[in-house]
Amino acid sequence: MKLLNMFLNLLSADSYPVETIVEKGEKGLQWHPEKALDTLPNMGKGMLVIFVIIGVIILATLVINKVFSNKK
Amino acid sequence: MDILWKNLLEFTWQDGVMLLIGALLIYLAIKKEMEPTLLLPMGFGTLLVNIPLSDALTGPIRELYNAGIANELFPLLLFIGIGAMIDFGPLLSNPKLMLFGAAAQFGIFFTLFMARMFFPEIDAASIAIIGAADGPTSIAVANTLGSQYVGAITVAAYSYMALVPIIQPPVIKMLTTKKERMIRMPYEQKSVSKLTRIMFPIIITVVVSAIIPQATALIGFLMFGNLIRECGVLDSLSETAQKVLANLVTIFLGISVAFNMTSDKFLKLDTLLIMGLGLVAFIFDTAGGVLFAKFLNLFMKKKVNPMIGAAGISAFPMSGRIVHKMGLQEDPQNFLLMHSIGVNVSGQIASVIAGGIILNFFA
Repeated sequence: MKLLNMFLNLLSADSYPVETIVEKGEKGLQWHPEKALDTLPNMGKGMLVIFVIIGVIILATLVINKVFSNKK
Repeated sequence: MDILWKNLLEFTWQDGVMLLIGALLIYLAIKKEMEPTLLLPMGFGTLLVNIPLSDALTGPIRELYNAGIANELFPLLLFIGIGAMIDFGPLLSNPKLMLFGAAAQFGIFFTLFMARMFFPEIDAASIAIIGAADGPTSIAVANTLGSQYVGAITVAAYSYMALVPIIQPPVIKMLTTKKERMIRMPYEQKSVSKLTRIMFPIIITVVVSAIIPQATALIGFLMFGNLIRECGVLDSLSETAQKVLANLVTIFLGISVAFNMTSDKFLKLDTLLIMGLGLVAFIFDTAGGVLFAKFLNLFMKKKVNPMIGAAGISAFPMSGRIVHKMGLQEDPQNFLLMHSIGVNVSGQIASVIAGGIILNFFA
């Protein structure tokens, strides 16, 4: 991990070392694979919410299609 | 003679690289016709802001940026034009197609997972929204979250949208068999009443805004544009929104996004990573849509062609056309256009919802 951070520091155009940026909570490139795991709940919730909203829209569309359909 | 050299000596190699990037964007726009309406103004704007001591950067481009991007105005105005261009007819005649639009947003959340390894939360979320495959949404979300990478994100979003014909086919082919790609889906034309077309944008706005208030502006402006189109009494406004407004805003949007294309903000390893993550987003969006269609086929009597899932990526209308073209390549009698365009416009709605969800999580 340290080696990778050193590598990122070397390549990043930021004049601050990556670790310093992360420690200070500032913006910039970092290497923290464990933090990706924190996003898994967001992934699950996000996809669920999209499907729920789309489901509601489908239902609403079916209803308006039925109510406002072209009567012969 | 000093005046001739004074400014030239201010040039750094970074400025030179940025000028080349600007020239490359202009080249891609003109020669390759890749999203020229946006890449050309962006390319030229990049030239303007990377000339040392440029008064364009500190003057008009900064003012345009503050007036239209920092407050999200330009992307939202552009949404009125996009809404006016979209025909929701194919979607209204088969609303179930919207499910594929939802599934194809998977790339956004997968990219969030990947980006979080390298970037702080806010920037990772902003980068993930490249997967919305929708320029205005990407700009609006990245900007609202206050990401420092708005420029790189915009370039990635629009570049990959232009590259959809190259990115999607291999992913679709990898995930489907020839037999699946040959599944025919006869289109049953159902008439959609005018009242339904009018009610649809209103209902969508109310439903989405009530659940995710952070998406109200995005979905509201998109649907407002569509209501202008469908109401039948504002034809001249609809035409103006589709052509004049959309073109005008695109010019301003493109040139003012360049405010973030200065060497100190753009020439970083970060930018390369963002471009890579953008590609990941598009690939996994496509995969999400196709795999969801295959999953549905396990339970459905009347199978769907899994390729139409890929059109759920909201790059409208390229994605819908690609799926149609791929269907024709496998079977010249397989016309998927109406289905794929229906899925494609649902992707537009789903990507805005996804943008709202990202804002809800991180803003």
